[in-house]
Amino acid sequence: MVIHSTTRKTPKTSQPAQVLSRALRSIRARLILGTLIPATAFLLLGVFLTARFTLNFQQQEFDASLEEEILQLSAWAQVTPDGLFDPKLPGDTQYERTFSGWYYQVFQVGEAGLEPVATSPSLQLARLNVPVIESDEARWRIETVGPTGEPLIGLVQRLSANTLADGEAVPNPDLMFLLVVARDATTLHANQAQIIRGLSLAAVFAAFALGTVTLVMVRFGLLPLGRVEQGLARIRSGDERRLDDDRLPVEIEPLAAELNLLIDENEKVVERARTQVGNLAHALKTPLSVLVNDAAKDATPLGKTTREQVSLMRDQVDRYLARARVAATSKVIGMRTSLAPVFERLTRALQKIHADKGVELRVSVDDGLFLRGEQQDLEEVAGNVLENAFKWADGVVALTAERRGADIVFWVEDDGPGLAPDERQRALERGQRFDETTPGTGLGLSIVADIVSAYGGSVDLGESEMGGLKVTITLPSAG
Amino acid sequence: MKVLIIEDEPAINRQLVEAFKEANYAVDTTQNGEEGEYLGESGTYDAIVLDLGLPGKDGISILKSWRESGINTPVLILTARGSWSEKVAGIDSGADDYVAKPFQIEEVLARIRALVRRAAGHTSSELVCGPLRLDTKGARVTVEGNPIKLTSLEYRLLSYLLHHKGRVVSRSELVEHLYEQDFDRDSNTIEVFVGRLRKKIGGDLIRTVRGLGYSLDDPQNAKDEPAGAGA
Repeated sequence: MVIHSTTRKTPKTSQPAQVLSRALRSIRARLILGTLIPATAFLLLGVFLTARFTLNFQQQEFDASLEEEILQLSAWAQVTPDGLFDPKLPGDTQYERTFSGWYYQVFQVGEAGLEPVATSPSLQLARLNVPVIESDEARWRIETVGPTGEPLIGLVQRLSANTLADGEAVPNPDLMFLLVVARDATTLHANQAQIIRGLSLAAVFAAFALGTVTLVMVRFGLLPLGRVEQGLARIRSGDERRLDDDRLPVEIEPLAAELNLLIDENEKVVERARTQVGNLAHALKTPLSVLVNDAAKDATPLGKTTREQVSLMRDQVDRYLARARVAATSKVIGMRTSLAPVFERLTRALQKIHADKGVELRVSVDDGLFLRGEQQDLEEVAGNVLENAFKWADGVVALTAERRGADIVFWVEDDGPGLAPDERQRALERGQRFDETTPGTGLGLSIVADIVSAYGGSVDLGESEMGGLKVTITLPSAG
Repeated sequence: MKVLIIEDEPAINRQLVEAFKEANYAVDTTQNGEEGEYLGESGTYDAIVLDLGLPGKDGISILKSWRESGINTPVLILTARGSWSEKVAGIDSGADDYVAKPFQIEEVLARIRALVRRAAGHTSSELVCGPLRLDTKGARVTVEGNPIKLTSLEYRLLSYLLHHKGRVVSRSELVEHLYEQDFDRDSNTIEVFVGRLRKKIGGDLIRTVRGLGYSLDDPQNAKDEPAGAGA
């Protein structure tokens, strides 16, 4: 059992890496990524900084208000001559309303902990939760929870009895009091959340707008490249022979100019090759022709051998030169040839030549048929096929041509003797001649087969309804 | 019949000239295009073989200038590369048929024969007049089935008359079409050959039309005039 294993061309790099490396080679990708990535980064940075700044500012304002309060309260705080805190603290009206959001409370620092000695009316019976801090700081910030569960931010000021005594002597001058002012942070938080939301929205919008603008600009900027692609497509299809460098971007101009030069050079090379081929044909055919005709008169065995061998040589020369001519031309970028004028010229000439036979020509050729290839090749193919038809026809030759998908198909029929099925295959092979009484190379159909196969088309020999030969040629269509 | 061969390749030229002479044609030839054009303009040839790949003046333009001057001589072109555009261009410029190089001499001969016949209005390769049959392909002449031996010039004369059957052909016309250019022409010699020919083919097939020339015609069309030496 033979197992055919086809080695799949697995790339050495993984699929994503391949996609990435290809993407990096794209100008469009580079422009888009190159714009969007830094822009997005800057945008994010900007939003972030703006947010931070704004939030900080808000926070500072909040804290400043707390500071102001604590200073004021600190200024008014008093200790009685007994060393007791005077519970009456003049405060603003915000401290009067219940759960107003502004609270103060003064604690006496004892060994058992903190003991409230003064409370703002707004706090009612609640107690501010103040974490005890071992610190040398006289004032610090706290965050805690208020009487209605609201978040509070507050400041704590440590004051000694001595300070509060205003210079008067008190029994316990080192007694510490903590003066706490707290403020409802709900609004602050809400504001901050709103700011963040707003900035985020702005950021998203900006990103979206930036992305859209970038894509549009890149597309607009690279649009001319699309023209290059179109120009190349037109050359490939044979509609144009040059890249039109008037309408191309300035940066592409050198490339387009080079391409046009290359096309010109290519055509020249092909033309040169064809000329060389033609010259070779001329150079070889003449001595061979002379030789074969002189040998025709020589009855000796050498004469016969010479005739045969020279005939063979001549046929080979014809065959390979015909192939070389086609090979030289089929690589040229996009040629197209209109069928109708070529058919018309050929049939006109053939009718003139066979005027004494009076051949009735029936033509049915669709409009707008184009061969994707050279005129000379079409002439050679159609010419040989039509020549055969006219030569062998009794009185009628029919030519039909139509488009089938990506191909053009034409067939030539005659009402002559036709070819038997086994003869048909031989006719396409080299140097076969069927009628010894009609002088002339029998190579016509084999040359046709060569040219057609060079174009990737096909030749089919069959029987015509009229009784003679039907030759069907399929070739690639252009447009 | 007289042909003009314009071919610059010496070996091919030689082969063509030899072959046509062997086929009993009078042959003029040149390797030079300009000379060929000039010769062709004389209009006295029954056919011209013209090579398209001539150096100097090219075949197509020679052909065009002939046709424009009203020269209707049948022309067979020899195409150098066998390309169809050349063949078609030649036919469009006025050629009547083509042969692609390399060719076999028989093909050239056959096509020239056909062209000459066509120009004279004959469709068959066999020319007939009463009991007389001339097979142009094999260059054989028979009278009532019996083959007749003719010299080259006699054959040429008979062939010409047969091609122009029914028409009066003047002596000078015969001189033009039967003799090569550098031949010493003497219209009296024609009389001699006509006489010898008459003797060989017998009958009253060749008539003398006094003052005008000769004519070869089917026996039933012949008038009652004594066949003899004309004025």
